Amino acid sequence: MKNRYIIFMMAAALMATSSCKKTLQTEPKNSISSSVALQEAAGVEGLVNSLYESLQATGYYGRNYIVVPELLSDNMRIVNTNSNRFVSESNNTIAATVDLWSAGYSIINRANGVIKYSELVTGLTPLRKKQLQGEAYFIRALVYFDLVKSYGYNPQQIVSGRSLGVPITLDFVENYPADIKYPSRNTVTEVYAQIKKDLNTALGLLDNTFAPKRVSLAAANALRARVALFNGDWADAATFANTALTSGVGTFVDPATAVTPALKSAAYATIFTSPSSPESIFELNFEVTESAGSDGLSSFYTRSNVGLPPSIGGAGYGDAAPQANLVAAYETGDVRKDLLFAITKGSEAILWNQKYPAAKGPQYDNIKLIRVSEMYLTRAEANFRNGSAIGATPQADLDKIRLRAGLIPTPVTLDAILKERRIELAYEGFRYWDLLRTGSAINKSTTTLPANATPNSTIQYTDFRLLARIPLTEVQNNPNIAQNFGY
Amino acid sequence: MKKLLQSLFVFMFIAVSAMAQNRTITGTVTGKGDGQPIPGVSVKLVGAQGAAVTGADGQYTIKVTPDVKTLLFSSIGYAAKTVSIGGSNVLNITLDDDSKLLEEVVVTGFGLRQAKKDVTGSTSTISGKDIENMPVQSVDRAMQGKLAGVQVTSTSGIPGAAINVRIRGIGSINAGNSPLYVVDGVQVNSGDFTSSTTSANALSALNPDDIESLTVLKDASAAAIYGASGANGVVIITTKRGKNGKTQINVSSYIGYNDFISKPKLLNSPQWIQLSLEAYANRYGATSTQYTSFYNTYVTPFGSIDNVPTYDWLDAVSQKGRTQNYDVNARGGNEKTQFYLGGNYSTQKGQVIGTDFSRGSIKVNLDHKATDRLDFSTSMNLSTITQNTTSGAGAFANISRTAQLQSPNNAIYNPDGSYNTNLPGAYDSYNVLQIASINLQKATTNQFTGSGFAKYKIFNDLNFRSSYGVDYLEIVENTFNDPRFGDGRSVNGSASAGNTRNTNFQTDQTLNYTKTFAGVHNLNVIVGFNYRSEVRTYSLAASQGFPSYQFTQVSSGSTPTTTTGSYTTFRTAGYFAKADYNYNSKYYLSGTVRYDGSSRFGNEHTFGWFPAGAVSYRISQEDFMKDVSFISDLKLRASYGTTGNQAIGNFDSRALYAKSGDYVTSGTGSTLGSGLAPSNLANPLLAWERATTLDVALEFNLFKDRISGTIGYYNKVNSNLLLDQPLPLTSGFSTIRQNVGKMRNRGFEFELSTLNIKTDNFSWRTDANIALNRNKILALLDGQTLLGGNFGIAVDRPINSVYTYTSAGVNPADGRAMWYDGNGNITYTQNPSTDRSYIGDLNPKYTGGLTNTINYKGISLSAFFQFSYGNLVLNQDKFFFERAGSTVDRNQYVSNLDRWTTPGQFTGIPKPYFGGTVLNIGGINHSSSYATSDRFYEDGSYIRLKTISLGYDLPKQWLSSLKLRSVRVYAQGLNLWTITKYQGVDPEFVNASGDFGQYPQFKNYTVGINVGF
Repeated sequence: MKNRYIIFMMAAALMATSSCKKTLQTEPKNSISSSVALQEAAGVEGLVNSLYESLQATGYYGRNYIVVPELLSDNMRIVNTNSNRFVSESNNTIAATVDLWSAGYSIINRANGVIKYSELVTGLTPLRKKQLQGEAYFIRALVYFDLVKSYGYNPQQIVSGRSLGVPITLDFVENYPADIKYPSRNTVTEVYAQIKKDLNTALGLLDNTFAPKRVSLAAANALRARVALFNGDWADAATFANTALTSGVGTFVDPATAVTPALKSAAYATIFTSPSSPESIFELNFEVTESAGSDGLSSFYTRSNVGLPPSIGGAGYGDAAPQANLVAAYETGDVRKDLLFAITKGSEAILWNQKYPAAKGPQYDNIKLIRVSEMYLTRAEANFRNGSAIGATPQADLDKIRLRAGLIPTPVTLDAILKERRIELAYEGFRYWDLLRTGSAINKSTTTLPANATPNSTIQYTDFRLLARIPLTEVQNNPNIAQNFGY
Repeated sequence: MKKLLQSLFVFMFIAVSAMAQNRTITGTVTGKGDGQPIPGVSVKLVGAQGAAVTGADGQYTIKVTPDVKTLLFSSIGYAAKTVSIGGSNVLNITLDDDSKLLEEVVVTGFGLRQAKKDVTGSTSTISGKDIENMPVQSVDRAMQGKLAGVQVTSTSGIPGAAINVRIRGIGSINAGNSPLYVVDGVQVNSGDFTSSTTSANALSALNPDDIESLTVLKDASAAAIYGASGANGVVIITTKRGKNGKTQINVSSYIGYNDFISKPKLLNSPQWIQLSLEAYANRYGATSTQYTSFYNTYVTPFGSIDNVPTYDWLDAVSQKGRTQNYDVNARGGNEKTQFYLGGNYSTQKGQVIGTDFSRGSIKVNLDHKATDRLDFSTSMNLSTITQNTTSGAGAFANISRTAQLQSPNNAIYNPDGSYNTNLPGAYDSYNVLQIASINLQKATTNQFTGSGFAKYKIFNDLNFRSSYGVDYLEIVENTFNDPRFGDGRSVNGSASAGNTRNTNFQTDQTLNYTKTFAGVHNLNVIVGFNYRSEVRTYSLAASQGFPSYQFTQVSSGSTPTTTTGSYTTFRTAGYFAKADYNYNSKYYLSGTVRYDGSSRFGNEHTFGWFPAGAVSYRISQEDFMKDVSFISDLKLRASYGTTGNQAIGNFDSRALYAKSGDYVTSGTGSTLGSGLAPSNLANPLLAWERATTLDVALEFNLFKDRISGTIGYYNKVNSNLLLDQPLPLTSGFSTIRQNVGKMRNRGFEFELSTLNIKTDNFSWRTDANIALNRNKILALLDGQTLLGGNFGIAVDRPINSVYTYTSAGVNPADGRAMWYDGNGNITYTQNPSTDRSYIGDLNPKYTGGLTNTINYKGISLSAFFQFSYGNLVLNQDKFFFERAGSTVDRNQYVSNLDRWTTPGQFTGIPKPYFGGTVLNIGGINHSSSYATSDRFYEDGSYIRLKTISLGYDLPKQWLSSLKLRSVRVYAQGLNLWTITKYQGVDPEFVNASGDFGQYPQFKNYTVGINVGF
């Protein structure tokens, strides 16, 4: 009797105490360990998907990288009754700028991982490997381009002595501390060279199978054209834009049947109300499960209702509205102005743009990153500056854009092209960078004042606030990083 | 029923006492305190089998064999007494109250109990009596102010919400600061495990009225036996158990209501419109579009400003919340088997609409002696809790915040009685009343905590104890957003169903050796092994697009939007040994060591050593002290040792790849492929934080228990703090966890109990405690004085220091806000690099409590004050509500009536100015008039009458005719009175981010009755 108890209890105790170190081994299930993650093709596929996922993030193309440049520029402002978001950006407050450093390098590191492991994993067909590598090179180039635009001056407009861009890191960081490096900033020229190199590599890898929702050959040509335009390589810009336009990806929406202003307006609206835009050379696809809800772009530009026009009672903030001088820049009869929806918010009459009208689903749309119209305007500007007519004359391209908008042709000048570019690409995050690459001052609106704004102000091109502040922690932590002037 | 039970137990006693007798002894047992007869006292023969029990009149009859020389009298609440049988056949006995005994027992973990005089470590104890009938949902809340050095703060007043408990200050920056809770031997989870509802306290599963005692182990000597889990202190909770004797049944209930402690005072519509118009006029001029369109929109329909109606939103969302609590418990047993059965039903409706808490729980504790050598024991608690909550701080749908910020001229209802959703301003379309009434945010928690052990006496001095425990928690959370309004409108309704499941298994195996050598060398040794594993899973499904508002379940949605889940686990295992030796209860020596491991740590530091030692000297036992009659007990003790803090993420030390969203896999389709991305870099060197504590104290007991107390000092240094070492962001990672920081808490603790007056009918007792704690950060990352640029965490300063601008008030000439610059000169522009300074910190300098209890005959009056002194609080509500018209889309506090309006006026609130940033005066780049400064930090000191209760125990002679053992009726108030300079809602809300639209705490009035059968 007595012995049986002892044996039983001791046995239980022994069972519980045996092999202690092993007892403490646990395995995460939500995550997998690094040793197995990138051994197979699926791992690399997943890593590439995460690159797109990061582009979709609210901090990047999901909202901020489109909204913030619009607010920093002369295009948009935060209305009086607002949710306290981006008020400082609207006022160009010191250090209220684009914040892409951390998110950008996280994407770059993963793109580096794709480039490394796509060569090592098993089970990847040669064709699939080319596509995935092409996507990685393209996205790495896109992120470096966005970083260098934000943290460095345009190569054509460098303010004397401030020629630094961003650090170039091309190695995958996977081990601590061995892989951790403390780089210094490369020059703007070096970064542009790297971007061009990556895009040229991508051009050799990609085809158009996955256009427009994933990266394609057409998208690589289009981005290459955009980069060339920013770098002042006019012939390149015109050539690559022309290649993108003739790739068959994306359609210029201008149906022959659209003869009246009303029909033209309706046709133009389809660019933004179609679930997948007919004009897209590259767009970020969103499904309902990926919606950022009220943190999305649509929510910031308007308030939407399912199946109903926008209204104050709809979902979203509707905090950003065009500045008066942008509204004034629309010519009479421009059907693009029909995308502005008049509403009274608080006691203030404002306009909500309907470029992201939550047409695909509640509070989300696909986000157009490269549209055919941009390529026409790029080809027009590059040809004009280059004195060439690659693909078409600048006048023809400019007319194409204007006629579709219900406007009469106007003689081509650089100002006319840039003005058309402002209107056509308004609210899509282009204006600020176009001002910077042309070395222009920013004229904040002179009539209706944004909340908290300094009225009638012009921010000179040399104002240090036009370059983003490198995160303070980065400068503290990596002494090799020089902060931008003025911060 | 009662009679049935009585006869059942009478039968049991008869059964065990059916023996041959030679002599019959009778008598009456009375209590020493009140002289009243005590029913249900167990009377046993010593050295033979046989027992009896006293009746309702306290009388007993027992038959005694000639070989029996003594009788043992025992009863719950009284000290057992052994009495020799003399010649008389009548033996009248008086029993002493248990609570008056010096031999207070302290539960110190792993089945160990020590007399308080023998404890060498630092512990504080409260008994179940001190916390019973408090209208709180969880025992951690009841600890507030009762124990020296234990600071309890709330982050939400939602009924059943989790709270923060800090023992001897904040010891960690990134690992947890909560103590380890051990309930009947099981290390249980505390805190909040909810995901989509606001807050649920895992400790609220335990009915506070089931608790026998609660002991806090504060120093290393006491807590080292818990090794890497002990650094934040250990709270050991023991529940009530059965006792040998007649079954006692207690029925108790209290009901009452709760209400706001104080409500913020808000502007009415005319005042608010006047303020807004001034703001526009000052910015744009009184003829501007802004001014006139505001006027035309809000005033013109009513003719004049004074005619604009005011709608009291805060009042509309307030209610008098009902509190109800019902308890039934029975405890009793015989020599072999004892039981405690408890049942509880408790509900509380919050003082804000749409919030409530209800709990049903069952407690079963059984002890059984199988043989002389083998004992079994089990403790089980089953509970189900339902909570309706609202959105938390900051959210639009947070009722208590949005109802205040809503513009007062917005009607709550339309003329037809429906909810008004045209609400211009910051919260348009969010009618919080509608949201609270119709939308759903509900959590149902089912929890089972069970443990059991077998104890086997191998030799007389050596016991083996094998203990197992399970703590199982399941939370089902349902949310529903009505498609007709609010968040649900844009998506045609949305719903979610979440399920959290936490399984926590433990076992302890211990050998305990207790022996007294030569009558003076007392030795107690325990060696053991402790293992714990915990697995937590979570799944969530959400959908949108509902056929109509009548459908509220996730399955009715047309589009599934989220299917997510998580799995996480950790395990700890430790070997420990503790030896306590004393020489003749005079000199004490104690040593503890634990070799402890955790799966959370890096491969190279899975295990570590946690040693501690203590000495103690009972001076009162010395011969030369024997003559000092006023000293009953005097003890000096000291301890030193190390404990660990392993409360970090379960997989923080590993390199991990996690799912990272999805993206479409084709150019034109919609099929999604999963993303995968590195989420964490490995750090194989990651280890626990280490707390090394020195503790010295003097315990005294004077004038035969009339004055007793403790004076203690401690110095606790937490080293190897886990800090996020920044990585260059260009690496693609932002930080990696390292063991680098160092922080110190040191202070004094005083506990004093005095029995001021004691006569037969009257007594007055005072219990006081006060703790002084000083925190200082000694080291952060190498070469850095701030943690990641955060001035609140700086070397040589207390954690949560406040580094901000100093307000210089308002320029009386033109109403602009002014600050002092770094040189003490007036400035209108805050310069972050020169103008800020340290103005204090958020940690209280002193905390404590004071209880006075007066008893007169059966009447008792008790008042418990709790206080906190010397901390700053960020009044973040003020930041939103005292903007003087900087924003015109939300209501403001009445304090804005003191705003600057006329030149020469001296006031603290600047002139109304739309946008807040004054423009174009002398080319100065003005800072916003409500920019952060010391104006928004307030002294958070307070003293609060936490509870006051008046009770009456009906005289025993009245009860005996009703066959009742005891009846007590009482009235009680909670949080009735507060003295504070703090202007916000409640100074008790103390956290780094400040007081921001928190669901406020409540005050509460209850009346109750306890009946003992």
